[in-house]
Amino acid sequence: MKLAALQTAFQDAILDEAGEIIAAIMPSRQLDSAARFAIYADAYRSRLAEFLANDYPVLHLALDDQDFGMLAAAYIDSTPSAHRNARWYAHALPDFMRAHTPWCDSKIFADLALFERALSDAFDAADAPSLDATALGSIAPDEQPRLCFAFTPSVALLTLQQGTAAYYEAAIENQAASLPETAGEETLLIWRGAVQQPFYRIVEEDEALALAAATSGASLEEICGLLSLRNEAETAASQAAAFLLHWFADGLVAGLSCR
Amino acid sequence: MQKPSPLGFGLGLRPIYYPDILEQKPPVDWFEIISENFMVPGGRPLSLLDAIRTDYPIVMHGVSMSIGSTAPLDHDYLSALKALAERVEPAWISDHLCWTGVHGANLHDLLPMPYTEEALDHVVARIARVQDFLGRRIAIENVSSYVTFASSEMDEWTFVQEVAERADCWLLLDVNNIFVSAFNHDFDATAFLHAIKPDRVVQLHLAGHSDYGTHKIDTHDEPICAKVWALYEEACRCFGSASTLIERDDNFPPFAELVAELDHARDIARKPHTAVEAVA
Repeated sequence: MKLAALQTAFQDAILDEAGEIIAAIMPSRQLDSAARFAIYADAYRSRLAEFLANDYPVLHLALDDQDFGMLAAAYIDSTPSAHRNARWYAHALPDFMRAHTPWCDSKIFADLALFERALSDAFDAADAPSLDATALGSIAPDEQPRLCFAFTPSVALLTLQQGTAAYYEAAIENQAASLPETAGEETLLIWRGAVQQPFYRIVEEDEALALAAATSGASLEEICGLLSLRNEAETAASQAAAFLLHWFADGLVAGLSCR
Repeated sequence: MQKPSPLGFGLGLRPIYYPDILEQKPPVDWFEIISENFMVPGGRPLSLLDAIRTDYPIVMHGVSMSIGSTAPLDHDYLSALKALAERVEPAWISDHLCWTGVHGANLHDLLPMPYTEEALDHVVARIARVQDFLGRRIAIENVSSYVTFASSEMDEWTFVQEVAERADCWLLLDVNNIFVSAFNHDFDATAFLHAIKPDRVVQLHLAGHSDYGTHKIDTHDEPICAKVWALYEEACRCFGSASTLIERDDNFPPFAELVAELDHARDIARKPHTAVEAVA
């Protein structure tokens, strides 16, 4: 058998458990050809399942071994890895869960997966030095309304089922916790902060609105305008200023520009 | 042909040991990274590597170059590898004599080659292209394997030596892989060592494996066993001062235990060398 045909048959047999490759394999003194090949086939599935378990430990805990095993098996069946780096194999798991039953029937499990994925993404997102609030001193007062913000690449906003973060915190501290059952939502800000570890905090509705606008390129004036739809104009301006200082203090802001 | 200077006795760099390394500056001569673990956009892994490489020489060891695959070479992967090498300035770059997938898939395994003239021509040409792209010789490692292809036309060691000569690359000989494959394929492990010319060998790997009775699997989750130590002693006789590295990837012991294993390797390498019996 030519090399290309051999590799195709070998891979097909691993992915689809087809038997054509067995005739190309010699038995050993102690194992027949099928048993020898099974070492590779079994290792493939167990290795991918291990990647998933490593990347989603809290989801694993929430689902328990049996249900997580079912999820892993379904994902592995539907998603052969196309990545050289194992880091990315499990990245599409939350999207898979949101698109397939039974996992799409229960929002909390996919939301836990989204949260864990966001923390992993923040961990090794691209580097960018953050600015502190003194950078605002370089902006002339008449330019401040047109001020726009560039955020560090690790910054992400997620809207998840209310209680997702609390369940995650309890789980990683090995504390008993019940899965949240409320229909409400919470917005989580995730970023890589001090000592290069991922951080997160729940942001209230007004800050979530301001952050979503700012990360989309809105100017300070536009952000204040959005906030003034929900509050008095004077309150909106002071709110925006407070949010802005908080973002600088968290190390979220990587650049300033004026439109 | 000037081989890179020997680095001494090193360990695989794994995140669980970062605190030990950064706080204690242990007596390890060098560290080997898994290249793919650092082919990420940024963050802590890269910054810690930057810190560690100020104190220790680094070698880059990859697991997914897929040099034996009949799929086209992945230029995105090779570009990322080259960019990492420019940042890390490794003593050398290595990967495995295997394939990891075809038709766009990656099976995350070190899949075995058939030892045929066709495969030899194929892999030699690919190594030459990679070396041209990276602008340096790479080191190629023998893998543990669990199947023997009916189409094979030569011994593994003949294949490995021919690859090194014809591709003009270095060799990273994994002593544990030789031991594991010798058991699984019923050959004499020392015959493998004796067939390899020392002028190509820049590095030796040591690791533990799992013994299932009917076969052995390269798992890197156990201490190095006595028979692999014995084979390493023979490898030292064959390859002299080749840099030695211990790999551990699971069931992690306290860091001091790995340092103790490394000291044992040093003791063996410094012994007056005498012939030993076949160990597989």
